[in-house]
Amino acid sequence: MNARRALTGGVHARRLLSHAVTYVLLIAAAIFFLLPVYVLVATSLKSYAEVNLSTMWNLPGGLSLDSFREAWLGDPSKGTIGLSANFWNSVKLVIPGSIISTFLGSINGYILAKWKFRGADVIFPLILFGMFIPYQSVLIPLVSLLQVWTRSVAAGWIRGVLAWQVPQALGWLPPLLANYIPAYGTLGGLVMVHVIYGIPITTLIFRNYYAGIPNELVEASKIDGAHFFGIYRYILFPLSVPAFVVVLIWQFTSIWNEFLFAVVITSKAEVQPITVALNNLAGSVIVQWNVQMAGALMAALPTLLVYLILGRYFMRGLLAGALKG
Amino acid sequence: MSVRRLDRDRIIAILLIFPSILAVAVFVYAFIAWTGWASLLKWNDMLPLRSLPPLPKSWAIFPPRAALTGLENFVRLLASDQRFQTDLKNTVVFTVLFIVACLALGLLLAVLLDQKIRGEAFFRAIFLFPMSVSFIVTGVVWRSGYTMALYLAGLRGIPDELREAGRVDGASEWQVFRHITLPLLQPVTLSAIIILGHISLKIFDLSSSMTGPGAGFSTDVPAYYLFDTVFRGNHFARGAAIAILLLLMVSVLVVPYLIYSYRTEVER
Repeated sequence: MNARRALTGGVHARRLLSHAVTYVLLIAAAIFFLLPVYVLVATSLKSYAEVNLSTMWNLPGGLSLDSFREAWLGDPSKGTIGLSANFWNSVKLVIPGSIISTFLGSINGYILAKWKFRGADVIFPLILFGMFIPYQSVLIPLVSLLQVWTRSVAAGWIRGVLAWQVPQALGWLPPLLANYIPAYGTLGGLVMVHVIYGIPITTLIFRNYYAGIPNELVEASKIDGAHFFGIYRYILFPLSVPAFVVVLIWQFTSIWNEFLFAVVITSKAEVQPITVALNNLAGSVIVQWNVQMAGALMAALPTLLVYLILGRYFMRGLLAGALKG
Repeated sequence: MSVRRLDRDRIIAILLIFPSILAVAVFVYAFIAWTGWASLLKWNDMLPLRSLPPLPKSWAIFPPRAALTGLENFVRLLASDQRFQTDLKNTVVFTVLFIVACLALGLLLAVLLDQKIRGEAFFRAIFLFPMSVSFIVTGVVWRSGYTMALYLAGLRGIPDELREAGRVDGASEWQVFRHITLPLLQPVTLSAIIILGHISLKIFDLSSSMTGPGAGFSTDVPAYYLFDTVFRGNHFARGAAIAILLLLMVSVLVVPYLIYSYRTEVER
């Protein structure tokens, strides 16, 4: 009896020990993961004089939000304009971009899963390949096509919209609309590029999701007289709300953080999203690290918030898009 | 009547998916072909691409009338371009280190989280958050959270009975892990290698957000060289050749994997 108790006691102790080791390792890893956040936050709260590589790990001397103000509004004496305009550009880019590409992916997925046509099995992997390509390999023709298109057609549209006579109260409308015309150097052009290169991943996630919904459901509603849109609207769409959340979050995060397309398509500072503006900030002659870090925090805030609120779906998106990098 | 209605629905389906197929055909495949063609040209003139002055007459959507040089751009890059050779070496070294580090750290974290401990969701959230922000904000190693998520899902997919059976047979925890868990995680490792590998080959934001190419191109990568060549130097043909080499590297990694995973799906 005693021997058995000693034995279970030993097992118990060993389990306790292994749990303790697990926690120590996990906490160490967590600290390691949070270190860049700490440096980011600490540096952003310092003054320019305080920033120094050797005191990088020190806490700031006082709580100063000056660097946030400077990153957001700029400093007229230094000729910087701040990131606020670029932040709103990103917002204006990411909302239509993620909504349109999510709906497009949903329709594509619905067709590829439930309305298989001849050749669909070949077309699907060919579409998928599009998400692995290094976008550098399409960049030169993309820019030249957009430029030629803009010069020959879209520039006329933009001029036309800008010349549109509207009541004073609606004066903001023509520039906004002109900015959404898909062209080189407009937000609309960038939205279009994100929607097109988002087709593979959004289609993949929705196709796999809809493939999991029994065909009998679709067949039964066909017998009941439902059509293409009816089946989508009343059966598949309501069932796929979780997939919509996953894809929306995924596209929101990718488009918000995207840099390469943004830097080559938006050449003018007034339309650049925040990632490009942030990078320009780092490229200036004197890098004010406190301002840079404050800007980086502001650029990261929307996606971080989405992650904190909808993290569960984010993880699902990562795994669903396990094919995507 | 009902047959005709079905036919109409089928036509609607094809019409609706057609724009997407066309967009991918043009923006992925035609553009790659375009770049491939440009990489065979002697087209290194200075066309200001980023500003928008009036275009020269010869300029069209297709590369201008330039002499065909065959594989010369590739030969020059691979044989005598020191910067590109440094870049290739950097990419290979970086990719190997990146994959090994992410796999090891990811697996370790996943195993730790799988110990049925309290606070799992909390730790998972910390390990995954760097995925939600840009490379410009966090570094690369922090991306191992992704590998952790893959491995964790893999571990959760292994039935407890399998491991229990091993323990009943007298295997130590390490032996159970080594001979039961690890082999079952092999497909996850394969996907992780493919995903991490193609991310790492394409890596661009990182080098540009840090110091640029660095002294003696020590931190340069092909993707950044390409950007420099085309958008700062306007050496289009050379940039196109780099792009094609990048694409080939990624394809060697991805195409067999796509075919393999597609086959297994069809079998299922």
